[in-house]
Amino acid sequence: MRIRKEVLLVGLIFVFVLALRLYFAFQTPYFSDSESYFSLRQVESITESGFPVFEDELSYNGRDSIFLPLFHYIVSFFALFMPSWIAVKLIVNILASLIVFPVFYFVKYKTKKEGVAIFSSFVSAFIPVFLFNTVNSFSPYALTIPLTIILMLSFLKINQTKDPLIFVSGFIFLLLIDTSSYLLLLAIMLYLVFSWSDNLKIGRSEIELILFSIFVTVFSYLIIFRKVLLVHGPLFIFGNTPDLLFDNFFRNVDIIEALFGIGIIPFLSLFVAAYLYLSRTKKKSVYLPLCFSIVVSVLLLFKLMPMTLGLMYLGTMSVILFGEVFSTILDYYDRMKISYLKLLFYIIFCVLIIITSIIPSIYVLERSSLSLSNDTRINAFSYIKEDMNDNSVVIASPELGHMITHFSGAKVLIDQNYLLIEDVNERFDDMRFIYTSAIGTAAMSRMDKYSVEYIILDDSIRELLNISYISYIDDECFDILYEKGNVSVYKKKCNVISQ
Amino acid sequence: MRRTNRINYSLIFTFFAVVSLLLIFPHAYQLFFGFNLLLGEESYSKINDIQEIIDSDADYFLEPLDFILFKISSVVELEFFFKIIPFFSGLLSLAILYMIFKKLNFDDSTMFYSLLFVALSPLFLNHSFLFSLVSFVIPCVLLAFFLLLKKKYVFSSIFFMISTIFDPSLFIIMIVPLFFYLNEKKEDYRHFILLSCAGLIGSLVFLRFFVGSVMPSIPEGSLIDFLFLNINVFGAREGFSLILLILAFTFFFSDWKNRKKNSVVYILLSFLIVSSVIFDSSAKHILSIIASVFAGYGFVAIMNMKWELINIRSYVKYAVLFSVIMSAFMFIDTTIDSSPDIDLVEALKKIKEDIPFGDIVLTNPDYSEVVYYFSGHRAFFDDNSDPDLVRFVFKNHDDKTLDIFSKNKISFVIIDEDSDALMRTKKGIKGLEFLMEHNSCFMKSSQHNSVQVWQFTC
Repeated sequence: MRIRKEVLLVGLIFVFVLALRLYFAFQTPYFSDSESYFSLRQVESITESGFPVFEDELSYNGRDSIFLPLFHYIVSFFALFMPSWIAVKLIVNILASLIVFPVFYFVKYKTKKEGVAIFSSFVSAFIPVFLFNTVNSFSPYALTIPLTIILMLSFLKINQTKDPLIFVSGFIFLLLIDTSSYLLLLAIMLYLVFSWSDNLKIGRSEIELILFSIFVTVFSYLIIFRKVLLVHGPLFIFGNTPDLLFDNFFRNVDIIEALFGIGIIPFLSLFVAAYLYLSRTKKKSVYLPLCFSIVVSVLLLFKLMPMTLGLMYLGTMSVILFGEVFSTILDYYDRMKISYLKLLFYIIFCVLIIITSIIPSIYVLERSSLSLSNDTRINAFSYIKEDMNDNSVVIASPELGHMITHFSGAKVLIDQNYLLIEDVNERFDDMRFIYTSAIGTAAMSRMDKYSVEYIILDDSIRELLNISYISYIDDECFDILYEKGNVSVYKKKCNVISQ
Repeated sequence: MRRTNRINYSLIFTFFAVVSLLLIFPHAYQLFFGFNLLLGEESYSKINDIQEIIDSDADYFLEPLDFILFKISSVVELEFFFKIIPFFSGLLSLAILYMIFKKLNFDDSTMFYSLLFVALSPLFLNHSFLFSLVSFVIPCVLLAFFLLLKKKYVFSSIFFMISTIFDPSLFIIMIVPLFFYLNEKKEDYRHFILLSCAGLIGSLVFLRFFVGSVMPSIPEGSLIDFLFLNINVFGAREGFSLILLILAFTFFFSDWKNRKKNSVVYILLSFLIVSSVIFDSSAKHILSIIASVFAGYGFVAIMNMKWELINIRSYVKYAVLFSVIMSAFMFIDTTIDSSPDIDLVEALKKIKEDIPFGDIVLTNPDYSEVVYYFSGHRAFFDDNSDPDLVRFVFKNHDDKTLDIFSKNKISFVIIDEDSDALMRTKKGIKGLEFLMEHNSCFMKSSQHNSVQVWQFTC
């Protein structure tokens, strides 16, 4: 069987991107975010016992966790043959690099131009925000984002193929990997509304497929997240994030951040496509990525989804729309008298893409290996591990929570998994009080409330609470267990006697 | 192309055989694992009430059920009665429903799916597993309706009267729909008078001879709280299945054009919905049966729709059936879990051996009736206890707890895995367990796997 030239080219892009990703991913044995260590613990638990840790004794002094474990199981299979951290980095990067294929096929389906599709697939490999969040972390989005594009393509083709098997099986798979599958549903619903309002024919198959998907989603999530719904009600969509941290996760849209996270050219393409296809041309296949972008933008605007997740999806949709816009510009160019300068046009666009997408991508790749988990912090955790007993509780920035449980095996007062924690605001307030209080006895009394024995002071907590040191730390009641660079670990020696 | 799924009698026979197995499953499961306990805390509560009536020689009863149980207790063991009655009530209700459907000329597939959805609906399973007045009321109401359809008005009146003796609110719920039904059928008005007199007499019998109340009460809390309390998928034990409700609404909307023809059903539904909200009665169970029949209609309507993606039609069919069956099995699982843990029972029997009766036992509030049934001792906490006090006693680990023990003459403490969540403090330690392990006033009396029995000796 002969492999077609364009597929070979996309394959080469895949290999190149994968090599680049792996080079940066294996610069460090650590991950760039704390969430990855939570997932790593799940992978290790599945490899050892066959089950993830749903009853976590370390997090919040003991709690129940609810999450979708399918992606952890997938990675765990590979972790049977190699160390788990290597399996995580390898599989996540392979899956994330695969994005070039669905983008290629999607753009080719829309534009019927292979050159444009190859170019778009190349650009899709260098979406800075997607690279940063998938190169050095255990991110399910490495799988869900490419899968979403495949599902969108499959949905668009349903009127021709009349075979829903790919869409349905892929959608159920997506459903069990990450809850962001609801974005696809919202996008398809908006797409149907747009098509209807523009008098474009809506196939009965499309309606049947979307109704079925809604039904499956609602039921699956009601069963899986029943407990979360019972505890948090409809506000569960905010993940029970503490009030004071809410703005960090569900923050206002920062245009500059979006511009550099997505890449300037794809970002501008989003607006051009919106202008072209909402006001001038009617093209159903463009409506779907456009509607996806609108859904994500609205959710971001109303702070209904985390910024990073929103930008990753927005970036991917922008690249798909970039293909459409690029194709339109080429058509326009062909009609002009300077069509012989087409090659020059390609080169100019390539240079622009290199400057605005690839160079920022390389920059974020470098940054991803110099992030949260550095040797100083990891050493601090190993000091705690050597000193602690089974009931020791550590207080640190929530961002470090999963890292501490992974590296030291100690219990933490608070981490970033806030779901099902009913006193999360109280805990966060107590944590803030312990770091910011000027009165040692008051702070130690709060520490006693949770049996806190170790305090970690590092840049993440300094940045979060806007402090530079803990004012009541002295030799009488605290030992300095570890101090290097900007990381200090204090061990509490005194207890406050309550009257 | 319209599809019709024809079924035959062998399928109906198989259906009843499978339903019988399903209804007997929780009891069979218990026997298989070597213990023979009642399902649900309510059963123990009821038996304790009857035992108290027998012990105190009282001549008044809260409800007719207490009277029947009191009379029966001298003939049959109540435990056996509690198991056999719900089972037969469930099967009998389904058999009457089958006859009603035949009488109403349901087509075969609608009849099959309606019966299936009724049998798998959580509320129907509830009254087929757990003994309550609903186990008597539902067959009576269905029989009254069936006889009404057969125009046997005298017999219908008798069963209607029996239903209202058990649940007087049924008189208020049924009387208006009955009037509209007989009016629509152009029946003699004397039949209406006969039925209303029967219902009225039944209600008066209840009010004259029993001290229970039928006063309506407006539910507290938000709409979301109400849904969480009444929809099974959110964890409500006695709740409606969400999937069946969706199917029922599908039918409701698709049948809107026939609303005049079906006006009596909608009037009855309106009364049942309001009554389900304000009365703690059997209305909810009747509503669930009607909703399940509607769901059967809705499901058949969806299957008979014109589908472009034939595969999706199959997926929908399997997804719906899977959801209904899953919902039923989740309910069965909860029901089996509702019987007391065998280790707890052993622990309570051991306490009874040591001290036959008269002491106070501190344990999880959910176990209060079980504690009294097996040990003869009263539980310190029950479902009506102040939650703050429960939290304090279980989480605290200083001398203040000892004062509570002394003042209230608590002699035994029973803790198990389910008490962990009650005891765990913010420090991650289990307050009461910590106190008992470190205070000389407590002595571990026995341990039955995860169930610990402690004696308070100070």
